[in-house]
Amino acid sequence: MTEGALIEGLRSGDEHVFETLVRTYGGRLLSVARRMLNNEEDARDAVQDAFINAFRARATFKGEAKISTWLHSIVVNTSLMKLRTRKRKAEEPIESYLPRFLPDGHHTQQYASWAEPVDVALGRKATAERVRSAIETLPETYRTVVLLRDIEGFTTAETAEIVKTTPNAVKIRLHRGRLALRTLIAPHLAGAAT
Amino acid sequence: MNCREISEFLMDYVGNTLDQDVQQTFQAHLTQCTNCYEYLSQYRETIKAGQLACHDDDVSELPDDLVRAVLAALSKEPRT
Ligand SMILES: [Zn+2]
Repeated sequence: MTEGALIEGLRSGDEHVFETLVRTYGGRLLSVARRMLNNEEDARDAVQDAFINAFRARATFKGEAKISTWLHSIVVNTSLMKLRTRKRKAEEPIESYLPRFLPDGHHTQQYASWAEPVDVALGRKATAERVRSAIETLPETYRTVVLLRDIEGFTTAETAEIVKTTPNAVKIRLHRGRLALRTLIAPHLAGAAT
Repeated sequence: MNCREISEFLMDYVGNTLDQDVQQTFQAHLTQCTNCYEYLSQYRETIKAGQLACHDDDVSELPDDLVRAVLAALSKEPRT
């Protein structure tokens, strides 16, 4: 089915078109929801909610964006909604993962090149798994922004709109999130192959 | 610029959004400071590592039972 035919069918609420959308884009949406929620059951619920919300909002789809982009934003929003309704534990401060400096502004530690290029290191399942669990470890405020900007590819402005904050706050969270992630993954990438 | 200040500008440097004069000061520091040079390269690699690790885990299809659950839920939605 062409994008044009999909859009046409989507607007008219054609059941077969929705089935095609579920089968074509569902896997990607589930991947996104799993990353954001780290919980299989919640991720499945988020995907289901996303398709229902998409169905309800079908008349508002303008066709300016691709359907895949539109569904992507919807699943991000349903996942965030789930995150917000979860019982929150107090968020761990990010400071302990940030680089440290001496009073004169120098780094407190020495940094050296990692043992191998990341594409080589990440070719190993175990290392990829460790990087994913490092992302999971990030405090939620930072993790969400890192996922939206660096993994899902939203712009700063789009991310700000999705998480309901200012572009400047997004930039600060992204930067700190990346710094913290570096601290968390460095032990797994610094040395030789494991 | 000292190493602490350099670390604050990493994102803008990587994203190519630094003002030209700041960028020159930034680069001048990097040529003299191996530590910041290495830190910058790890910062870049971290972004790439996150992307590789996450997309490595992507699934292309929904499990069948979830497809059925979604379609069943959709069929209960009012059509108009
Ligand atoms: Zn330095």
